[in-house]
Amino acid sequence: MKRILVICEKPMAARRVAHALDDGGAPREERKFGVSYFISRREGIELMVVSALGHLFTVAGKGRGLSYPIFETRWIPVQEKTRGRASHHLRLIEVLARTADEFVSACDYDIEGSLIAYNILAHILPAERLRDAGRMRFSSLTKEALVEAWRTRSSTLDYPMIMAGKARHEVDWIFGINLSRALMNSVKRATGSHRSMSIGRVQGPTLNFVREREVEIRTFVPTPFWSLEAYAELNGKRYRLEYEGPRIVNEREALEIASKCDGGDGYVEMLSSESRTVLPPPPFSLGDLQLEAHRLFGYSPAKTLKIAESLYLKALISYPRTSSQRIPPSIDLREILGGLRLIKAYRGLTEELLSRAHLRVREGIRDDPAHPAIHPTGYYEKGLRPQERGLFDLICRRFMASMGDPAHLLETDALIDVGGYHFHLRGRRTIDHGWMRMYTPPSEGGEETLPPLEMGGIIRGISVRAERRTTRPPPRFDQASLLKLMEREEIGTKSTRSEIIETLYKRGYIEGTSIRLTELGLAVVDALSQYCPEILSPELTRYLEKQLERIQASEVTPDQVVEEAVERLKPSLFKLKEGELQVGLEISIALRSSSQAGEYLGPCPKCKTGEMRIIRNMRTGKRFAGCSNYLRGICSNSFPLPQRGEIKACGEACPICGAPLITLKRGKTYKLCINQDCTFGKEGRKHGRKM
Amino acid sequence: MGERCEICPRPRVDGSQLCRYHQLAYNRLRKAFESWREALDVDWRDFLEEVLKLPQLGEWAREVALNMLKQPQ
Repeated sequence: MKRILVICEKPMAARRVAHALDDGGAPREERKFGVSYFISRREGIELMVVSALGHLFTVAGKGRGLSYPIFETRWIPVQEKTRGRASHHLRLIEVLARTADEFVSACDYDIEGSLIAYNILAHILPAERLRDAGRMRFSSLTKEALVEAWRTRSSTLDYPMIMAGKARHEVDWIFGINLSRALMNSVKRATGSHRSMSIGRVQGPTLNFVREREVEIRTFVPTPFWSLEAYAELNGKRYRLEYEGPRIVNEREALEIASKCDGGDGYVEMLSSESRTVLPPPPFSLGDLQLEAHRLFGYSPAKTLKIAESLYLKALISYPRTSSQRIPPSIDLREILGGLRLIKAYRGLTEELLSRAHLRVREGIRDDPAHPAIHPTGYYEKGLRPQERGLFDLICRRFMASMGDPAHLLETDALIDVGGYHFHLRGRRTIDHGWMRMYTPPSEGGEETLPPLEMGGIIRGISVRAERRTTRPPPRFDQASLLKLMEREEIGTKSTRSEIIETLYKRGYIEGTSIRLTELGLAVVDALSQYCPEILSPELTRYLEKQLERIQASEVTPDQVVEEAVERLKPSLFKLKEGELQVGLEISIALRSSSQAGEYLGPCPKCKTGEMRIIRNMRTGKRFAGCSNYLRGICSNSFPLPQRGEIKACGEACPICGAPLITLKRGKTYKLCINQDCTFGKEGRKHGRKM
Repeated sequence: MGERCEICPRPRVDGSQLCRYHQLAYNRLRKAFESWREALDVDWRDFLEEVLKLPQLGEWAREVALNMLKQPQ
């Protein structure tokens, strides 16, 4: 009997592929080297379905030690770098390959998936047999999609995608290893000790975005302005009026206008009503989903991707690593809605959509040649974890909303003259909710229905006060807004952006939910901006991204792109080498102040300008939360902390007293306010709110 | 290594007692002072005392303002 080895990317995907392709839907599960694989029978062929564990091969340099520059690369099995289960998977694939007549890649259909299978096959097969390896292409792990992908599998691997992937890994490795070693060597030269540090092709510009924002915030000086707080009472209800004029920056002028208007009558000079149509949103791309999940649930982009991948592996949603906002005509919308109809919460909405003669998705601009926008497959399984259920619901509702009718709003604007100054009284009412019944939009504000007004009408006794305000600094990035900026600047890929942000946290360059640049992060980015500003510029990264895309379009070769990247990197490395001692000294100062600073918990609720940090008493070794302004003699605010258990910042202020909230992991996890006098979570509990 | 900033361990910029960040904060304080003077007719010292009360004042600008207030008039 003919035997085909089918390679999947992850164990769960292998299980789904094996079940989908087996004629009886019940493949035989076997184990070797502690790794499961499946034997499926399909139309008289035996399929050995086996999984990798993500990448089984990785880029490495030639030579040893921490010297740089290093531009020669090679691909090695990951177990040569790290011990782990990956080696068992590779051994199993090698053994099964000996009895196989043909080979098919069933890894995720994208650059990484294509490269994973290619590296394995290139390792176990001679070149002439590698040429005959086939490829299944699918965007979801449902039985129908997998059977169709099997039927239409290609007779070769996706070489343009593979070559682009190889080049991307090599370029990133060359940038990462050389720049990171340059930093580590400089610190070693200045301090004599080793410190693990990293910086890379995408990390550099991303860190620089944070630096630019941080400098804006830390050098910000507020300036005063006055706003006119105007209110009118109509039919027993208070309405806020907006002053039409420009921002008032002089106290005298503000007080003069307020005194002229306060208590005066308003004359309705103009009245206009306008109907506004709000089109449905497109279905989710990965970036959109990450932003929305952050807005609604507070999930980090990496967490959203992890949950989405778990839903994909359960065949409940399509492949999530997509930048598309489009659903191609080949996807059967009615079938998906028919599946979702079985879920009680969606019955009414799906029936309404299914009753239509034509279904049309409102598509977005962005497209992805490999995958459609994220959408439900029409299947559902019970027992999803709450976070999976929440994200699944979000994806389903957005998908349904994208087929909904436009919403119609009626916006009313009354221009009111008070003592010769103009104010606006604005109202907003939804006439037809359309798609908004399925999905709550992020930016549409609340309703404000105005009482009946007439042109030339008089509104008696308008109160007007001038209030002094001050300008505010730009907001700090959070993970979602930083990811959005990376997406807009076209640096990184949809799959790697959230990982890059996570790496910046792990390296200690940034901290907090509301992202702050640490002293170490600032020192690293300062050193790079002085010696090799090109590394921090999004232009270089963007240019290399385009070149990598051109490999996929077969316009340039991978070697050309890698060579060009090396040539662009060389001058920066030489300049860094020249300034090695100086760079090391600057970073070592930052390292010292970072280690003295302690872990950041949140802003100080007392002085508002300092940071509450975990500090250890030098004599007793006990930890407490202290304000960073203590050393400057500005604030001595401090709170005792529990001495046992792991403490982490929540990134939120206590809703009761404003002090930072923390999580304490001691057996169970508790959410606590650091202010022991605060009542947060203490009603009926001793240790705060159990999570 | 060259001379250090009056406020922090970073190197001074040419022609200044401050590092690049504290110098930038100082420049912004001077610029903002113009707006404050126009708006409220305050002098430099009153301005510094006023902005120091505001939580929105940036950390480096605060350090510069405090440093300026320590200096004799």
